[in-house]
Amino acid sequence: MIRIPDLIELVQAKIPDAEVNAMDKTGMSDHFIIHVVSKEFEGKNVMERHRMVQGCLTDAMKDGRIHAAEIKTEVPA
Amino acid sequence: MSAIEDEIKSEIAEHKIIIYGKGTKSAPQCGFTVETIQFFNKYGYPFEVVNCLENNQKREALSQMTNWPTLPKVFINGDFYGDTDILDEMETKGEVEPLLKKAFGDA
Repeated sequence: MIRIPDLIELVQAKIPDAEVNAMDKTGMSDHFIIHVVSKEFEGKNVMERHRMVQGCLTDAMKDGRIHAAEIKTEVPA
Repeated sequence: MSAIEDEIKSEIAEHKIIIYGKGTKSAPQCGFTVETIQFFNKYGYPFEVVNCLENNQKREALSQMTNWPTLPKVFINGDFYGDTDILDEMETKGEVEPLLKKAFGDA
């Protein structure tokens, strides 16, 4: 389990300009829908973008704080 | 190359669409695996589901081969396409159907 503010912090630690919206999908605080908007995604394909966000969550996924994350990425308009 | 990698490579070569997930096609054990099965059911092409819950060695090997930490993992025509987060985005852009048609020689 992880609190949403902590989850957002994990993403912003590696993607500092990221605007992050996270939703607890199941109410169990371990399945999340994470929407990340960042200039860092510019010129990167969807797989590369997802790998960047996954990279922020690696430790929390390994130790079980996060079971699953649905990731959506976007470049700011 | 390890035997398990060889096994994965021959599975990927054998099936045009293969989903490495949790549970089986008739009894999926994870919501994301269900979503992935439903995704491909829409298109009507045959696909294989491999249960990785009973094979931790395969699960680890797959993660290393793809540099992708989570299940399910989808391969189409030998190429890795992540999960439904990726496929949904491709679908929105109209990229899935041509890819499947090409894979199955319907194009």
